[in-house]
Amino acid sequence: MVHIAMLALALCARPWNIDTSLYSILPTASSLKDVSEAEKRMSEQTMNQLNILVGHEDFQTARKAADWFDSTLKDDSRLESVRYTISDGALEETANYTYRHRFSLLGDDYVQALTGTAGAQFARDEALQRIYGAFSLSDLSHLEEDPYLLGARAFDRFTVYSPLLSNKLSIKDSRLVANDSAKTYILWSARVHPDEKGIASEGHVLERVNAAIDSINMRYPGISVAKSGVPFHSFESSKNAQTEITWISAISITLALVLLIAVFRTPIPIASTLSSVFMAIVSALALTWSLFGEIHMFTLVFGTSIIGISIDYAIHFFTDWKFSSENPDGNGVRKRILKGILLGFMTTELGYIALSVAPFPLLRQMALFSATGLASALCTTLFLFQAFPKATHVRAGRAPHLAASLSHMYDWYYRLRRPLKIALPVMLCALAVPGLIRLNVQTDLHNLYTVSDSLKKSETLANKVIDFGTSGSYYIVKGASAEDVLQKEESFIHKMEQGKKDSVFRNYLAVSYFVPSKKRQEESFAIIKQTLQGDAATFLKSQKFDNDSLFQKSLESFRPITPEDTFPSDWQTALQTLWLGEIDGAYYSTVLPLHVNDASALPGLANGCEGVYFVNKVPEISRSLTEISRILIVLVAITNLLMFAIFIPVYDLKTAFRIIRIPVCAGIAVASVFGLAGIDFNFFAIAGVILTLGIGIDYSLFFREGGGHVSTTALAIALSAATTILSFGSLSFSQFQPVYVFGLSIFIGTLTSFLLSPLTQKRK
Amino acid sequence: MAVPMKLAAILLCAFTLFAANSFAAGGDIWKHPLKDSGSTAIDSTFSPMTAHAVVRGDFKQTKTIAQLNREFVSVGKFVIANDKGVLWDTEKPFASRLAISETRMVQQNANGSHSEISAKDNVVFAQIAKAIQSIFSGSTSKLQAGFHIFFDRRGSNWTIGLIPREASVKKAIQSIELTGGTWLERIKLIDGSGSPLLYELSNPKPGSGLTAEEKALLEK
Repeated sequence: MVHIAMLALALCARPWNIDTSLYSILPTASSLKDVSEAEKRMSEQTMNQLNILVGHEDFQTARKAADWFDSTLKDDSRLESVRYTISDGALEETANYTYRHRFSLLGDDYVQALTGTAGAQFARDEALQRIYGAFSLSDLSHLEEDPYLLGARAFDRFTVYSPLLSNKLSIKDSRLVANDSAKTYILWSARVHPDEKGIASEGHVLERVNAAIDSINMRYPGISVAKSGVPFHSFESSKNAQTEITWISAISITLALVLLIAVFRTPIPIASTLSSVFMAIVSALALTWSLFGEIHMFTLVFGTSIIGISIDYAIHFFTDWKFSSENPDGNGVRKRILKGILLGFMTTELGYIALSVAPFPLLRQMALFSATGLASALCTTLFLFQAFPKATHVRAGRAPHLAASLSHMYDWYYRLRRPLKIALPVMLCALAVPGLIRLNVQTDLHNLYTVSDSLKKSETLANKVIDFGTSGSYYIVKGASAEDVLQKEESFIHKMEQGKKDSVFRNYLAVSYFVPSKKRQEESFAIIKQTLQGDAATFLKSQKFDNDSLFQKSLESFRPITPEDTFPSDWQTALQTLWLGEIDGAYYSTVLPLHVNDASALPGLANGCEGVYFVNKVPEISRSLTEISRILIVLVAITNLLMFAIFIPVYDLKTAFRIIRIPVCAGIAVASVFGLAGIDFNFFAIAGVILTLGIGIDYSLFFREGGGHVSTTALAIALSAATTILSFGSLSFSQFQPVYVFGLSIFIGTLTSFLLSPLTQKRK
Repeated sequence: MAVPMKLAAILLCAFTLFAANSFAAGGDIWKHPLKDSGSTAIDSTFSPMTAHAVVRGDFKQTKTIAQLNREFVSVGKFVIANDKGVLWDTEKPFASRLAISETRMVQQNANGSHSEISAKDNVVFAQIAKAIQSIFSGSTSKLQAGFHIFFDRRGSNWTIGLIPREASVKKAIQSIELTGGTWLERIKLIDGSGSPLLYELSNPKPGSGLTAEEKALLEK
């Protein structure tokens, strides 16, 4: 009934949202959460960008190769836009636009110079220099309408002085080129369609891009190609991870199934076990979706794995059902295993409750998901499986006997003299100390992804050749309206200007450079009008023009520009990245520092600026994950203590200690190996330890409660350990760092629990 | 016989008129693209001009704006420092100074306003500055890198036509015509909007070197 309700709940919980935002990991108090959606949009803008450099010592050869590359890919429907040749009309488009909006786009320096008594003289001098100065290429054809050549001034601001042009690129044959090590590189860039999957899949556009890169090398010998952009990394890592995990999973699941079939010789236990796990997952998803509205990717991965331990309950049940010489029915089995399973369940659940105490919503979600899943598995085992009739063919066979030998593996230890009996575990614990001392509890996102040598080389070359100057850090400005954002940005720009003067960075990009706030535009226009309206007639007469009627009329054409206007094509790429627009009722923009010299000074610039957030995603997330990891270690310790406290009244102090030492030793073993191997004890490793905490307790309790059914208990534990090691331990063969670390942690933890668990059995 | 003689006379007359007209206008230089062998001819044309490290002279600039039916004339002095760049000191009617070197362009005017553009910071400027500087460099290879070259020589007079290779430069400078005899006498530049900018150079004299101020503008 409960399961049917859960299924109904899962159906009602639609849409089944999966949260992939790394910001959800941050603690509730993190200010960056306020701008997480804006950051997501910003990431979407930049994360689809591809840059390819095609280079050769001979420019014409490079050009031919780049032309061929462009012709191969420019019409690909999965590329949203392709940029290769510079349009002939682009400069003219900018000139027309800046002329039309000259009153808005003059820049603060110029407008400030107009204030005061010498303002009109300044404007005259600037214009006279353009009219009479040598090699001044300013367009004078609008002189009567624009006597102070404000249009030319605005145009220069976006062509001669534009921060967009502060890189190593130049133009040759209408293509963007850069020189490096005697080679000329031509830039080809594109934006992957937003609907294209972020991960590798059949027919992915990146497959075609990579194939074109391979072909270019064959068609044009001696050509150098450098590729850069997030999609290449996502594609490569997901492709490798997918292939690898598919192989690992296929092999381990096959082996686990073969093992279970070989032991049980009937598909019923396997089918029942799998259906128990399936129901556990559905129940966990249903309740999490109902209460949280969405489920985080990490919860899904971690939680689904945790549910994997629920398989232990089913295996424990069916081993007893199938192999016990007493041939009990489902009800009989339940009675026999009830205490062990119930205690294991309660203590594991306790661990999950402890997780929910932490100030991280993600941990609460993971706790709820896992607790629900485990409760479902317990219900299935205790209430559904009890309906099973007696097994038709009780198999004694060799398997139980082989497994039973496990329970005798420490007989030699119990025959030792007391001092030795104490000294041996002490020595073993001492062996763990060097590893624990070296343990580095840290989650650094940089270390979780290993870029391939060829891609790393390619990225390094591309960065060196193009030198766009962008880094992973930037500022997000948040406001109640578009105007509010622009005004806040303009206040912040004073600090950015100071940062530029102090050489914190060489330049920066901001929306307000292209679109000043309406308030700023109107203030500027008022200054222009006040200063020049009265001077124009005299000035024009001095230049032998009859009157200033055209200029006076042009003043009436002033209309402030807004971020929603249509801009010259040359600005569009920059503005798409910088202007994030409206998200859930708030408005956002970004300010990008370029060519950063002193990254440590960047966060401070946002201090005291209302609505300005400094974003440096990777370190921020890494810090949060490290904090979560530390909290988790403390919670694991507290959970162990609580379990110990619960076991004391149930058993006695000595037995409670014997039971609890298994998961404790497993956790210590994992930590020690990680310390000795110099592997960061990160979030994924600790997630593995939490998983083995439940496993260790279960094995320990099952052995304790197995009583007279040593052979079936040992077989159940051996099967559980084998399936867990095969399913999760095999992940330690992965090249994908989080999977490798998670798998290794479970492998060490499960193996230690399995090897030590016979120590908890009752000895006669 | 009279008719053929008359015809011959008309033809001769027509030819002479055509030739004289062509030469007076610098000829239709755009019909004379520079052949590979012609680069040495340009080098020899430039050699008197590049024989001195520094040359000083006077210039008159006439900017014609057809739409306004107006001409804007200014005069001043120029300095060409072979390996460093060029400096244009406009004196009248409005004093200003322009220094173009390979790495930057500096503009100053009488009110103390000063602006500087670095070639490494700006693609468009880098292209235009390179184009202007190559004209005075006397280097055919530099000219060829930035322009399609046209060349015509009549006796001691010569005309060089330059059309920028880059579309972005062409938006600012459509074409340049250089004419001269022993020295460069005239530069006619057609800007992006089609308006001509004419420079008439006079009194070129070898200079004794750059002043400290000039060095500061060109040598950074």
